Amino acid sequence: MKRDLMDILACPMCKCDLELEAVEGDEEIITGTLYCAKCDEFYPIEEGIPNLLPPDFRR
Amino acid sequence: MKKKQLEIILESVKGFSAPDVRKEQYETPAPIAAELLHFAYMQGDLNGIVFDLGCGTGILAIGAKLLGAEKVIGVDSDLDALHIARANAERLGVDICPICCDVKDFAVRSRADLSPSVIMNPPFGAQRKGQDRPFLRKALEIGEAVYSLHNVGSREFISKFIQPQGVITHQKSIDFPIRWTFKFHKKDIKIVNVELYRFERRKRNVKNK
Repeated sequence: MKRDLMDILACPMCKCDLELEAVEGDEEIITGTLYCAKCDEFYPIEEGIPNLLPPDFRR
Repeated sequence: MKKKQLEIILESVKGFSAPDVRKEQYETPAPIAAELLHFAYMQGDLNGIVFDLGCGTGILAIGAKLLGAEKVIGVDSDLDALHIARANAERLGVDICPICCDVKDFAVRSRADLSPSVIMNPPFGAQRKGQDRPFLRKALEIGEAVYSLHNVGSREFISKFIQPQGVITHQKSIDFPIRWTFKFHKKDIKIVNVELYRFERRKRNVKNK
């Protein structure tokens, strides 16, 4: 996922801004998390694709 | 890029590995995708940010990028399809942004000043009625201009559904012979009739064309 997508993406539950934590990758994030402070929810970025499905629906 | 040229390139986009019938996962045929994309391009709606809602294996998203869109974001709830979409894009030398999210939940930052376009081939509701509604709703919520494929005879429904904030500006019938390849090495030609709609958020002095 491109870092500049952070200008576009919002939390799917509360529509607030997300915080990015990159584990692998800099401009192109391979592994990391998107965190919503309001919902206290983490969304994983794996193999470069952010997964914003509700936690119960993730594999 | 000519429409025919785009169509030929899009023919190489790989489809679903295990299509889910309930989600109406089927690939948008390349001639239909090319028709939508070329039409949107000619209207000047494929320059900036483009969202492909329910992008599946990415044919519309990739086509939009091939036609010069600044950034194309493909949203789908099927992670496997998104991996195929990205591989398809890489093979054709373009970069798309796949995001795994249910279309109805997908959200864009409120401060983001994007005026994006939306392109989509939503489920027609053949399997579960009303499956196209969350797509229409989301498209209108996040997009300035929306290009959407539907069953023949959908105008009345769409027109009512997108009111009061949305208005249909264009409608185009697309009839294409599609060569279906069946398992038993038997080929057949089927005519697919769909309708392409362009709708947008209502501004003042917009007339129906």
